[in-house]
Formats: sequence, C-alpha cells, structure tokens
Amino acid sequence: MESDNKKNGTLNRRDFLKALTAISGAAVISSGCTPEPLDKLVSYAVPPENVIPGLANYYSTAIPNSPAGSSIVVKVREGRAIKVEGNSLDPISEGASSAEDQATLQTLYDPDRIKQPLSKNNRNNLTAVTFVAASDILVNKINENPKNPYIITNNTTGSYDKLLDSFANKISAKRIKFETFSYESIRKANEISYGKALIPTYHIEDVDYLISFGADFLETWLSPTEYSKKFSKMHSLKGKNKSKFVQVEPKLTLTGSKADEWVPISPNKNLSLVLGIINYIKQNKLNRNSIPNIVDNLSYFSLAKTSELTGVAEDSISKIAKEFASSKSALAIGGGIASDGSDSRDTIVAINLLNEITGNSDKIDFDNFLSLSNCSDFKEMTDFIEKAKNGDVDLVIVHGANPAYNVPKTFGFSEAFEKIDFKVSFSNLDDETTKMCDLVIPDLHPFEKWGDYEGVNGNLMVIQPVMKPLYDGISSEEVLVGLFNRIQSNPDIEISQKSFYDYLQNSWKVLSGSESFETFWNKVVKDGGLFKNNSNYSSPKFIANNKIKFEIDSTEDRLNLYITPSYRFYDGRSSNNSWLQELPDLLTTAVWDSWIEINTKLANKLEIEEGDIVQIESDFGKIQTQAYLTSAMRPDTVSISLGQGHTAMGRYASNRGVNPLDLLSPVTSSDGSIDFTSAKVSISKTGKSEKFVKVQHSFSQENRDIAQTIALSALADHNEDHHDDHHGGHKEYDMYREYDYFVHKWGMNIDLDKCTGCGACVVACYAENNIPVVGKEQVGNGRHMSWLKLERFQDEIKDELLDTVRVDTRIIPQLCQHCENAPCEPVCPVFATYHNPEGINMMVYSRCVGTRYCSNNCSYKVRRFNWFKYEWPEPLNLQLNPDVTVRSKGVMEKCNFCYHRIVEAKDLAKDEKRKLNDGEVLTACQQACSCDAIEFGDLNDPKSKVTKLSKDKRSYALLEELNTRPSVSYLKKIEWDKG
Amino acid sequence: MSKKLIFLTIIAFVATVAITYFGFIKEYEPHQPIAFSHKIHSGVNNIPCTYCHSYVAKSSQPGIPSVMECMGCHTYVKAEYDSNDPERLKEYKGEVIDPNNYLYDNRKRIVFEEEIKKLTGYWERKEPIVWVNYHYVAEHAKFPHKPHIRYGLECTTCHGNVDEVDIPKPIVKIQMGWCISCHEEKLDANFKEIEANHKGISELSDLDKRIMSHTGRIRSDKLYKDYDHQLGDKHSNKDYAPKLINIEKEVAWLKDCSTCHY
Repeated sequence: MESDNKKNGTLNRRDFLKALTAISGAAVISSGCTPEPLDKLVSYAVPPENVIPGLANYYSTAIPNSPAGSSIVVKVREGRAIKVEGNSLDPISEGASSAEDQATLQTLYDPDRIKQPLSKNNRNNLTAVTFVAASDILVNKINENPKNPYIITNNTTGSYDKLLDSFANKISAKRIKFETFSYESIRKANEISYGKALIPTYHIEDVDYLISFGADFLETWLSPTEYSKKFSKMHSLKGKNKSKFVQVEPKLTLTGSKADEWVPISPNKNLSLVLGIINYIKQNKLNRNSIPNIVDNLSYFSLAKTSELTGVAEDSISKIAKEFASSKSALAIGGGIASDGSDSRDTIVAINLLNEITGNSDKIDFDNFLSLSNCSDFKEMTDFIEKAKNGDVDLVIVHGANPAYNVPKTFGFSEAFEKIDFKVSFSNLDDETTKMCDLVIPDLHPFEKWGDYEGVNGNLMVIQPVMKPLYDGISSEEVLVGLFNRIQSNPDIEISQKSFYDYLQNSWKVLSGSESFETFWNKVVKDGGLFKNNSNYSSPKFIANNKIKFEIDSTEDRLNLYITPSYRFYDGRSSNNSWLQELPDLLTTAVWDSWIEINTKLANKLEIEEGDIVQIESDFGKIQTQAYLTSAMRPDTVSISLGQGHTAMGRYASNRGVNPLDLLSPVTSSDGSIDFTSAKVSISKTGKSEKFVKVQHSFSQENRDIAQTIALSALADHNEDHHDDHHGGHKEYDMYREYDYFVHKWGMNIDLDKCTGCGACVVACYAENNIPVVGKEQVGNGRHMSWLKLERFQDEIKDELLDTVRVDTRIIPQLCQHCENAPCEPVCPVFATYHNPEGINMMVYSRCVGTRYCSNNCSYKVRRFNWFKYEWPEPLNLQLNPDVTVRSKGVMEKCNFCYHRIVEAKDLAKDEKRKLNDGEVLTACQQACSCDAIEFGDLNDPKSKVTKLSKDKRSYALLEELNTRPSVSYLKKIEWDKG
Repeated sequence: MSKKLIFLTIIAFVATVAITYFGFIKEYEPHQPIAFSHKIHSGVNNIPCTYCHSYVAKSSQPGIPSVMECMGCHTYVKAEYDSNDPERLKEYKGEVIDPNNYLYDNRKRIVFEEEIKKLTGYWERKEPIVWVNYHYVAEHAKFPHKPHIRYGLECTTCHGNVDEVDIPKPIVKIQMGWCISCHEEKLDANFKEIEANHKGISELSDLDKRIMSHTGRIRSDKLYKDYDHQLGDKHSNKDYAPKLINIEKEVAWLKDCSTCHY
C-alpha cells in the first residue's frame, strides 16, 4: 500500500479516510464548544394597543360555519389567532364549539389561500393584479350593461345579505342563495302544515320521547352544536329516569349510535312508516287531537302492510306508536334522508301530522327559525343553468358557494357556467368554480374582517377582525361598497357609507334603543353579538290544506344510494383542512379518503372485502372507491359521504376520493329540491384492492369491557352506598407506595352517557397542543399522533326475532390515564416520564431519547412517537401555541392534562393571593365539548365536581384489574332494559 | 500515512477548529444596530429597569421597548452638544462621560447624537429595530420572568450590574445547573424553616434530602427515632407503618422537572 502511495503520489483510500475523520472530528469539537446561533429580538415600531407579549388576548367574533353559524371567542397571541373557543354568552351554543369551528384556524392559515386578485389575461392565464385594478375591471364590465347578471352565494345573512340585495338591484341582477343542503322540503312541508315556509327550531331538550326520521342532528343536521347541547340535556339521567330516543335511518350515523332504539329503513320508505304509525294511533284511538283528513287511504297502512313496505317488524312499529302516543311529551323530527328524497315534502308533512295528533306541535318553534329558510329554491339554480346554457347570461359573481362541485354533474352546471361571458369569484381558495372564473378577488377570512351573522332569527352575532389580514387583502364586503357608487345603472340606488364598517354600524343603529350607539356597539362587539334566548316562543297552529300524495315506487332490484353530508367537510366546503382530513371519521375511523359503506351480508354475497376497490354505477355516472363493510346498515342500501373528490381547491382536498353527487339523476324531487336518493346503483368488483387506512383496526372489545354500560333498572336498584371503591383497588395488599398529594391531584371524569363522540375535543387538542398532522400513508403505518382518540367499539348482537344483527356502538374517548402506578414510568431509562407532585404523568421532552419502552409498556396505548420531524407548511406554523413545546423527531409525547393551562391558572391565583377554585382550569377538550361530558379538576378536593363524579355509582376505571390506578375515570353509559 | 499527510492533517485540524470557533465567537459578540448603552440609561441617568422592560411583572416576557417608547424621551433628549461646552460632561462613578467621544463597550468611540439620529431614522420610517438577543434560556425550558419578580428577585441577580456596562453580557452560563443551584439555595432556606417543626431534617443524608425535595415528603422513620412519631395516623393499629410527612408544599416544586419542562 505504502509503495503504491509513493508511486502514484496520491492518497490511498485508508489515508484519505483518516484525514477526513480528523477534520470532521475537529468540526464536531469546535461546534460543540461554541454557543448557539443568536436569535433576533424585534421591537415594535408602534406598539399595538392592549398587546402584552407573552399574554393572550381574547376577542369574541362569529364564523358563518355550516349551517347555522357559531359565536366564538378567539385566543390571540402576539397578533396571531391560535385557538377557537365557544362563546358562553351565546344562548344557542352555550360555550360549546364543533370540530369545524375548531378547525377554522386552518382555513385562516390555509397554505393555498389566494393572496392577490387574479385576472385572466389575453393568453387565458390568471395573473396577479392589484385590488384597485381588479375592482376597475369589475366596474367596467358592469357598466357595459351585461344581460341577465347573476349573483350566486351561499346562505348569507345580516348586513352583507342586505348589501348584496341592494347591489343586485343596482346592477339588475338575480340572486341565488345556494346551499347543497338547504332543507327545502322541510320549508315547503311546513308551509303546507303550518302556513310558514320556514325551518324551525325543534325544542328537543324537554321531551320524554324523541323519534328522528333520518335527522342526523349530532353530526350535520341544521345546527349540530345546539342540538348536541339539547340532546345532552334531554338524554341525561333525571333522577331515576331517562328520556328515550329512537332513530330511523338506512345507515348507522353518529346520532343513530346514541339511540336507545335504532330502526334501519331504506331511503324513501320513511313516509310509509310514518303513515303506518299514524294509522296505528288512529285505530287504537291513542290520539289526543283529532286527525284531519289529509291522507287518502290511510287505512291502507295497516301494521302488516307497513311492515311489508318498510321492512320494519310489526312489533317494532306498534311499540313505537304506543310509546310515542303515550309519552307525556314526545316529538318526531324528520330530516337528513327523510328530507332529501323524492317524496320528502310529504314525509315531513306526515311527521308534522304525527306531532299534531299526539298534541306535540308545541315543541316546534317558528319564532326562532333558521336563516337557512331564506335559501333559494333549487329551481332557481336550474333556471340559471338553462339560461346560461343558451348564452343568455353575461355576468356572474360567485361568493361562498362552489356550485361546480356541489350541483350534481348531470344538471350540467360547469358546461353552462363556461358559456358565461364574464365570471367573477370572491373565493379565497382556488376551488372548482373559481378555476373557471375570469376575475378572482379573494375574500378575507372571517377572523380578518367586519361583518355580522344571524344564524337563528333574532340571534345576532357580530364578526369582528381579531387580527390583521395575513396578506393585506380587502374583504369582499369592502370591495362591493367601494365600487357601489361607481356603477352607472340605476343611479337612484346608492349607499351613503364610505366603508362596509360604516354600513354595518348603520344597520345596527336601529337596535341600540335608548343607549348611546357607541356604548351599545362597544358592548355587542365585546359580547360577540346581541343574543336572544330562544326558550320563549309561541306554538304553531296546524292547518291542513293539502293532501299527502303517496306513490309506491316501482320495485327496483338495484341498490339505493344514501349520500350523507360529511361531519368533517359538511358539503365539501372545508375539505382543504388537514386537521379535518386527519380527524378520523366518526364511525369508520377512516381518514384522508372516500369509501363506500356496504352491508357485510351483501358484501359477502358479492365477495367484496374491506379495501377492495369497487365500481359504483348508476344510469348517470360511475365512480370507483374503496369498500368498507359494516353490519349497521340496510342490505339494500350503500352509502358514500360527501366532501371528497375535489378536482381543485388546494393541496389537502384535491384529487382525493370521489364525489358521489356524480351519480345522481337530473330529476329533482316532487318539490323541486335536489333528490339525493335519485340514483339507483349497482356495484361490482374491479379486482383491485388497497389497504383501507383507518385509525382503529379492531372494533371488538374482545370481552375486555372497556366501554362499559349499565342498565337503567340496575341503576335504580343500586343502593347509594354500594359502590366499589375503584381507586382503592386492592389497597391492603398493594405493593406500590402510596402517593400523598399536598395541594392538588388532577383528575378527569368522562361521562360516556353524555359523550356523543363528535370529535370536537380531538380537533381542539390538535389546536391547543401543536399536534402534527402525519398524512394518509403514516396513519396507515399506525403513526397517528392524536393525543385524544375516540375509540369506537361495535360489538354485533344477533337479534333472532328480527333475524338481523344489531350493532352495539360504544364510543370512549381515550387519553393518557395518568396512572398512579404508571407502567410507563419505571421502564424509562432516562427518567423522561415521571409522576409529578400533582399526580400528572409528565413527559420531559428534552430528556427523552426515544427508546419507546414506555409506549410498549403502556396498558392503554395512548403514547405517540415522533417518527419524523413533522412540518407545518407556511403559514400554518403561525397557529402554533407558543406555550406548548413543538416536539421533534425521536421524542415520545402524550396528553399532559393541558399542563400549561394549569400553570397559567395557578399563576393567576397566586397573583390574586387565593386558592384555585374548582372549575378554574379547563382543559382544551373539556372546553370544546358540546355535551358537557368531560369534567376536570382536583381529586384532592372532596367538594370538587370531578371528585363527586369519580365516586358516582356509574364510575369505573379502565382496565381496573391491572391496578394502574388511573386519574381518569369514566361514567358508564346508561342502557334501556331489553324488551 | 506519510509525514507530509500527517502534517497537513494537523494543519487542517487546527484551521477547522480556529475557523469555526472564531467564526462563532465573532457572531456571539452582539453587534446591535444602534450602540445602545445600558450604562448611560440605567446608570448615568438612573432610569429604572421596568421603565423600558415594562411587562416583566405581568408576563413571562419582560418586553423590549417599542421605537415609539424610545422616542417618548428622545424627541426631547437629542444629545446635541457643542464639543466646547463643558456642561456636556457628566461624572459617573469616577468616570467622565463625554457624549461626543464615548468609548462604547471598550470597542469603539461613538457620538451620542449620531446614535439618537439612527433611532429617529427608524421612527420616521416606522421601522422595527432588530436587536440581537444574547441573553436567553434554551427553548426546551420555560423561564417566565413574572413568578421570579413576584418572589422578589432583583434584576441584578441574573443580569448582573447592568448600570455599569454598555452591553450587559450574561454573568453566568444560562444552563440548568445554574437554575438548580439557585432553587437549591431557596430549598435550604426552606429546610431551615421546616426544621423548627421537624428537628431531624439537618441530619438527613443527601439522598434523603434529594428525595424529599423532589417529592415534598419524607418517611417519618427517617426523621424521628422514637416509635410514637413514626406511627402514621392512618395506620394507628398495631402494624408498624411509618407515615409520610408532608414537608412544605413549595419545596417540591423547586426542583421538579415539570416546573420548567413541559
């Protein structure tokens, strides 16, 4: 070697490596000794008012989220919105918020937001222009007097709605307020029944017996946050009694999973069932009010016939009818599939009739109707499409709606839209409709602008900017006010205000009453609005002026398609949101994709397995997606949820899954609304198969009794003092040392009877604790990072009588149990996880070396490991909570009971020289919960709520036999006795 | 390996160490955009720390003054002195301060008027000043100023005599050992207080002291030799069971990991 080296005069490999090692060693040594690179400290030039760096400000505002809007409080740190919380002053939400509300932060910091106005140039490409140039282009176009201009928006309310109305008058345009789910049939049915074409508020909170025909009111129907609260009030234990809830639907939804009785029924069969129930009540004279003669041939619906038509057992029908009619206070509501089908209007009329004859119409409240009632009929959309197709429309302005995605393809919206001469979009996402437009003027996010919203009649919310616009934009409202008086047509219509803020204040002036406007305005902005308690209302008067038509549809051997709005994306408007994409679907736990739910029996017959890619074909289109098998649905129905299948919109939404609306027929239902049941489909295997990515792999409890229930009768029999002291476990023989807690011992209690499994807590946890989103592939590898997971168990119970399989769904929120004898603690070689003096199992990230022993030893599998350095694409990183460490690769993490919130509360108490009060520390999940299922507090304080609950007779600890002694206790779900 | 190669390697080694070390040291020397002197403000003119760092008792961060706050004084204080004017000179701790010829940080000579003009420039442009931060706690540890001020610590305890230097460099290496040493002092003081009630504390072994400071409790048999004291209240039967004595609630937190790391 030596000679070789000399001969050639070059380095040989060995020497080269030696030299390299020495030099790199030097680099390592010297870099190890030098201090860290320096940070920058940036002063304010002019300090913003009321901002103290390091302290959060809270501003109340509102978001026009689907469908009834939410009043919220936004936490702002150093000028950045970092967390959404419910507004406790709002009598409708009572401080609760939904997963969609929580995830609004990600639409604010959406990395795909359009930053600047775009205009189509000569080469047909969209290029950036200024706001001034963009409004000039728009004004010039309008001044050219285009024929038949149209303004298409979503359901706008309040001042913006008024502004749009006068703008439409000014340019002689027609307005379409388009919502995919506008519940047109409910509105039309109520016009027939009560003479009021409105969508009412149903007061379900006080009823003893609730039957819902298809209304998925805990997920998407009307106002889910409000109904979750009300449902929680109605369905909770009152003394020794409990209200009963029956859900009638083709596929198990979240609402169905909470039902005491679940009745599977095909779409389009609801009317027969309702008429069957009415007929039974009539024949057995169970009615309280007289039965108006609006149904021809009611006696046709005998028990036997109804059972034959609907597939619901005779016993079941008679039982429902009897219980409904005999309950002191009962209510039937219809929505979802019952209001989306071809005979939906008549179905709702029949449901109204059912309420009327049993004397229960008084729970339907038309005084507090939803603003959703003001949506346009779908007929106006079809008229628009017709006109545009003929080239009769020259100008269209779109804002807030995405009809290119939401109008079923067979209606030909896109083709018609293309033919319009000039198309303007006010969207800040490049969605399907915006893609086709000639001018895009991006709107601001509700967190960046002024406005107001009226989700329920009379309940006015103020939208105030909580931060400076991210991209120096102008809100659409402001743009419209700016160009209003520059339009030549209709010179008599003009507005005197210079800005939308003035316009807004002007429209609020009438409400101020005797107070000075300034005092009044400051107060409503601070509170978040002018709220109205909706408990006062007058009961509607039933008028019977129209006959219910009934047609038996021809027998069809193909399958019914049940399209559900998605809990996460609603109608697809919030699909470009990584939190919502990664939030597991509530019952399947699938993420990031579409799937078709097929009955297990049917799938077995067709030899389809989970993950198989199947082709779904109707007369009007075909789509391919993965199969998911479930027993909790009708074998004659398949179901796909809406929201995926975007071809544009952004990185998280586009080219993911399928849009089931592609399968629908161009025929509307009898009342003119979109008929979501119009497609009859056949499914076939394609031979391809993929792994079905879901968070939870087994839905069986394997007889471990994780999510426990207790029968109502057993609860009543229980003696007050008879209670297993689960915290004691095997106290006398315990080999573990006893902990003494000198001040606090933090603990949590979760009521499984109240918990609906809605997932708001999960998203709140993501927002609060900087939890990274990992994407579909990593979830498939089991690397989901959520600290709080809703585990669902669906054990199948065979019902011999009906020859069906009943699915017993139980949902249990799983988080770190903060065990006293924690299995994770002794196995950590570096003491990175340990028991802190207040009973919290803490995780010291900077100590963790990533052995993952703790996770292996955890009995509850609640620890998450950072397999990668997860990134927050700009500007999503601006949402990160500065109080919580962002974990990096190789570190274990898990729930720490929002430790930073405890520190904050203790700090405040110390400032005020007092003790912490019970209920002062709220964890993020507890705060978001819309049904008050989570209670957090001090177990050392015998008077605290959580101590009392943890000693309740329903209380139990998870896997108690392991003697880990968790600080989290659960209250058993209450079940009605069988039979 | 040939001698030549070894020689070259050593040269490369030394060069690498030198370049990296001096490279970083150079950057570590804070080069602030304006030659701001703490000595002149805090010392010569006797301005209290909290006048500029006004959030120190309210927030985790003490805050640095905005340009507007600087201009609150410097609209009037412009230091436009004639070099012949003897009244411009001030004496501070035996040193003569000349605003027109001041040795800043033992590095360079500055004229106050010019530095203030720089500030006025920032204000006119409404531009934030980007200072270099050289006094900070590592990111994985939470250090809130507020509780330390509430406890009654003086700024000088950690920041040194700011009124004597232009750029107050860290007086210590801000690392965990330093934090802990201070918390330990507080612990010892607490132990002395507790000793009034529990005599055995001073005789505890170091390990027991550490357990006690970490958990805030100690087994009674470690503290007392007599049987009566050892018996716990909960186990007043014949079984021998030493009880756990809670020492002082504050003690536990001083050295608990989750006090700073979460």
